[in-house]
Amino acid sequence: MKSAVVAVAFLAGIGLLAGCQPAAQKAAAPKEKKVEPKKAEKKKKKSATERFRTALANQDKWQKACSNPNQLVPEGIDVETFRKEMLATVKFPPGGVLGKDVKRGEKLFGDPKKGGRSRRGNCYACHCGDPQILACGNIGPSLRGYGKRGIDPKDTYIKIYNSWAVVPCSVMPRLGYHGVLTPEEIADIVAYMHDPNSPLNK
Amino acid sequence: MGKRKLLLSALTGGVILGAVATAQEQVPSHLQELLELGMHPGHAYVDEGRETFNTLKGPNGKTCASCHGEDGAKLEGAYAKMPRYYTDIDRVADLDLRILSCMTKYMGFDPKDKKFRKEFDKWNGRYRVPLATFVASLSNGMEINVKLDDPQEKELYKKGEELWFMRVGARDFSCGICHTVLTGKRIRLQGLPDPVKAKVYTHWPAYRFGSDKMWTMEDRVRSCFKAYFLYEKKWDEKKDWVKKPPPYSDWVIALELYMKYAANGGVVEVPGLLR
Amino acid sequence: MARIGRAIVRVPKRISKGQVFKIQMVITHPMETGRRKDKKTGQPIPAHYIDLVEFFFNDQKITTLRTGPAISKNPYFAVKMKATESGTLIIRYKDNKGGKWEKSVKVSVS
Repeated sequence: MKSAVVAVAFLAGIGLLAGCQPAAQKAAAPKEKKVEPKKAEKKKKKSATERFRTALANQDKWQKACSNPNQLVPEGIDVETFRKEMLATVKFPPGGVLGKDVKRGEKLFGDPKKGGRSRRGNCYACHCGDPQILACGNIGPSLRGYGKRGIDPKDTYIKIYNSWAVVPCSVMPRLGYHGVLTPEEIADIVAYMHDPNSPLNK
Repeated sequence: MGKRKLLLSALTGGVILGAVATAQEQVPSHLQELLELGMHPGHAYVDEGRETFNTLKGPNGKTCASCHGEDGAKLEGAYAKMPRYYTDIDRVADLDLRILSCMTKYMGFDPKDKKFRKEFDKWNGRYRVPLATFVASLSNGMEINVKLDDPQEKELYKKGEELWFMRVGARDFSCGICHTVLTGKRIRLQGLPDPVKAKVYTHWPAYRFGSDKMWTMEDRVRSCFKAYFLYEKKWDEKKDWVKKPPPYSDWVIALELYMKYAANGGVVEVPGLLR
Repeated sequence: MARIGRAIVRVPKRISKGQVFKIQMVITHPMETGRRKDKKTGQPIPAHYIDLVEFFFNDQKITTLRTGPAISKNPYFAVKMKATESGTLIIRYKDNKGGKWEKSVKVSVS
């Protein structure tokens, strides 16, 4: 049993190395923008170049509109249509925009733990909030006292899910739209931000 | 007690925030002294690079110095003109790629040798980074003068500019969002420089003191892409994550060319020092 | 740390006989105090610091620095000396974990 696992792992390793080869050769070869010859085979691992090219090709039409040198004004789509289209993509969780788990909301808001999916919110990269947390960015407005500003939680939800529905081509990432945060997670963050007892609002 | 603690932490926070600005990334005062003395760990890499340059023999018995002169005499000022088109590889190359192609074409190293490639590519390996830092230092005091004469250079420059403003990935980032639109602001405690306006390329390759890392602009550009959250099919699938562009690829060199051209006229002061 | 024990030494180029000049030196070294804790494991990171730096000029010892963990990472040292002839400056330094290095620099005095 163990040897079978080892054999499989070994073969997988070889497959991986074989897959890496083309990338190494490509880097030394000239004009790598040319289309690679079709590899006639069963599932072969894609080269790093192909994967990166695919990743760039995933740019959606709204990102493309915001890729002009101005960066903050959409080109090719008028602002109102842009907002409407973005608003249409917002998905609400079944339990409503105010989540129940405020503690999870706090964790998603500020926990900068590296790796994997726990880096999702990372709000302190750009915003300040809880006054105890000094390592906060100044890109977005401070969110201290957010819950006391009389904002409708639904608007908070929409802003986090798809900030481009509020400000087209905004600097703020469209966390819900891209799946960086799930609707339930956003609901918990909204709850944390609106909870009068959270350190954010003290 | 709580109030005092808060005041103390606010003060330290203020000092930290005060030290973070832009330009050569204003480093904290204790590092500023090292920078002014011109004696920071980055210089150890220059020394190491000089040694490697003069003594490392490739499989065909040649050292870098065999062609380029002892202590790189013939390479003075070369870095100030790079990235540029090289006829022998028919590509626009930056420093890292040029060193790789030189070693494989003229020193006999095998480009297909995985062990060599691994040692070459890694950031703390003994070939690329010390050699790049040394060769870059040979242009110290000279003005950057990147020309766009060759058609491939012109095309790559356009591509670089396009890529700079291209918003893509699960965070809708582009280089321009952080480094043009948000220049001067901070992500947490890290100030954002504008490499284009501030001619940041004059002090790259640079040594980042806090993480003890000497890196070339190629390393830096590739590392930035990790923040983009690029993916193949869906961001949700970890196996779909595309973290960095491949090394020495046109995407990376295009961005380097775009930034270096913007630094034309700036005086090379290498190695730089970052916090 | 990637490169430990590399020394960068600066000696003035023009030195006249009998002039007091400064030798400047930076050594790449983590200078761990032994009190810092590893963030992941919670275990203290073992002490690793330079504990001896000796300067020799033309085989004559000119000074000894007995250093300790209170000195910060990548330490900078400056030593003043007087010379009446040209020669070789050799700096020998070691750390508490058995690392031993030597750096030699030519000094020209006119």
